[in-house]
Amino acid sequence: MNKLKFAQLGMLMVMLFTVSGCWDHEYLKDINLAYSVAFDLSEDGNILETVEIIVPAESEQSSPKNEIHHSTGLTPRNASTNMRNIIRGNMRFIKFGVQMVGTELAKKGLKTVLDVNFRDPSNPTADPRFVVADGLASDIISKKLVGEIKIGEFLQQKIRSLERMGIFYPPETINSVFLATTNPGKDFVLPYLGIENEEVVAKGVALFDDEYFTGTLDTNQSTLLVLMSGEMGDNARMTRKLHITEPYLVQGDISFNLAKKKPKRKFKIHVHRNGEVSVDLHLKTYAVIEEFTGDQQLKVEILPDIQKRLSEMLTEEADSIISTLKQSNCDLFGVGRHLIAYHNKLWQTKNWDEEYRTLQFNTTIDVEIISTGVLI
Amino acid sequence: MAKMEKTITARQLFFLVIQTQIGVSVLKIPHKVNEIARGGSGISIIIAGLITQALILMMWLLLKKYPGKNLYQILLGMAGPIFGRILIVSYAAHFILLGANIMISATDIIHRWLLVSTPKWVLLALFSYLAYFLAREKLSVLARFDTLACLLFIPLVLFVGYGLNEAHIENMLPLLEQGYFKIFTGAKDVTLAIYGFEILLVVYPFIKADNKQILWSMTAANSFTTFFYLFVVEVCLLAFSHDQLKLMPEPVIYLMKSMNFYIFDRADIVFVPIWSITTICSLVSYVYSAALGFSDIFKKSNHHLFSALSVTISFAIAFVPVTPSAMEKLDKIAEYMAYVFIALIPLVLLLISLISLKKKEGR
Repeated sequence: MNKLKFAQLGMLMVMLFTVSGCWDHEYLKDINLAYSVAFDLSEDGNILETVEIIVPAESEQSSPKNEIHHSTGLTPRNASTNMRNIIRGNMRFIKFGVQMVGTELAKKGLKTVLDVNFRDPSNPTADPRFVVADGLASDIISKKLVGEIKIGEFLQQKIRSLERMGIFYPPETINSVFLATTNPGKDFVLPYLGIENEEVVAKGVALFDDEYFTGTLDTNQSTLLVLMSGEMGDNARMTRKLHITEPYLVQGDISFNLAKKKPKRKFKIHVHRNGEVSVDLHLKTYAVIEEFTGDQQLKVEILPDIQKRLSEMLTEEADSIISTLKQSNCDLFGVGRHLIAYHNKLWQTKNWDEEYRTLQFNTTIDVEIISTGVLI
Repeated sequence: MAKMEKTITARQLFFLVIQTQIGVSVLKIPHKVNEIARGGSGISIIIAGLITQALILMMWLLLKKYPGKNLYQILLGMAGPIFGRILIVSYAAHFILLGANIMISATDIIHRWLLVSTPKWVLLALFSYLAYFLAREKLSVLARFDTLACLLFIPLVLFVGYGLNEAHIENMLPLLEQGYFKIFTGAKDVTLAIYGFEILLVVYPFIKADNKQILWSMTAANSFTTFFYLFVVEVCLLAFSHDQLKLMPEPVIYLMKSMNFYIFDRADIVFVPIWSITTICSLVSYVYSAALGFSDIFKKSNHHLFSALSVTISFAIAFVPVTPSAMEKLDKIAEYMAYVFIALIPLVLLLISLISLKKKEGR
């Protein structure tokens, strides 16, 4: 018995020395944190990586600074390895918030870019946002500072606020993009940023087919698209020109918000007996009028006419959005997924890529004004 | 032997069995069964639960005929001292191999997900020490620890349940895509994942309850395990599409990692340690069973040394540098051993006992 106790004690001592040290630790002072990263296709077909690295502040009063570095490699991981040769010390992505991909690389598919994010579990995936850049993504990161704010922080704040504004919604994180690229029958859209007049601006959304970048929609369209796909940010603001002559004259620009009350969405996929598929998408939205520049008062009598006009305009816009989606082969609403799940035999016989382009969508958008603010 | 061990109650038996049944495989089973049965994975699990129930019933019938004896003593009595001992050794080897298998899979998962730079032998040593620490104790200590560790199922279920946030019913449909045959094949794999109920063969004489109660708590334990697995698999099937599940060997951890908990980024780091305690519980059960087998061979009343021996052998097997293909081979060996030791031998014993009892009646 005593011997056993002794052996146990010895084992504990050994473990104390071998285990408590912990192999898996990293000091924050030893590593360079990358806050944002961009991948592009370089001219010779390799991956061009651009990272923003945060350098700790020299004194306690000053704030940390950032550095921008470029490297190339066969793959993102290879480019990162080469990057480690360029910068001093170890670079880690454990705190990064935005990953950007340039247009040309996005056209070649996202799976190659995303593989390393998932194969190595130390890369965060649930929170960092994934963005497509117009042209070269490295141009955006290379701006380094926007006003006083470092580019990585700027992008994070910008994307988050645009998400709240309902221009990009739901938030597309690295994880959701990876899952979307591996989901047959359902495609996705990503925030689309670009540089205009030296400013980083939101250009709308990038449409994807499977994993390939195939088209874009502008910010006006993407606000409506969010509502059409059954999601809702905090706001969905639109401004349109109104011109009604009958029965009352109403003329002016009107701004309204469609996200103050959850729209009612009816989405039905019909499979006809001859195997043809058609989709009904009806959206009843509730508008709060936030601005009207015309001379007329928004009296109760004229509201139905405004509603009718707005409904017509939005329905028309929805139709053009849908036709862009179809041209880009972006099955955002998951019609294919529905067919796989509920009409599997039919799905097997279909060439979905071809058929989606000619799919019949019946779209209507109804607008009901629920408030005109504190003025009439 | 029986006098020296403290006895356990029927309730403790319930916890002992579920802790033995639920181990490493819970993380992998959604991936494995999806490969075969896809949308019908849930049905596979229920079928596997029924198969397991049949096996439990068979073992119970066998043990009922020999009150106060466990499998090892039955083997000694039936097959004679030499052949009986060979059988006991092979049973012990089976348990040790299962233990080693658990250690390999568990350390592999921890190594890949959590402690990337920690050498594997350290993880193995920690597992082995914990296993030895518990397995040298009396059965009642084991059962008490298992009961306590069952509290950890609450956070496990909550964590996995949080994954329902990402659930889409379309992901799982169509249910019968692969046809009934594949669903049954999947059920075979699940059955192999939820073994652990064979611990009844070893601990039977230490249970202080009548036979009916024993059967009830075995059934309850098996139902719990089946429903737990069903829950885990269905959540994974709802959260991921089939193509995604194909890519992920441990979908449950992926699910944890993919979720945004806002306060912390990597929920998998919280999840894996909780799960590893459950894993240790099943490792301990196997080591204990093997040690008890050895002590029956040598007619020793004390199994301290034998549990140390079993742990050491498990450690040694697990320590051999393993490649994925070697691990697969080990899995295959464990599979065939399971057929023999869990199904075939108990069945033969049951048949023999039925015949011999009839003879007695005839006289």
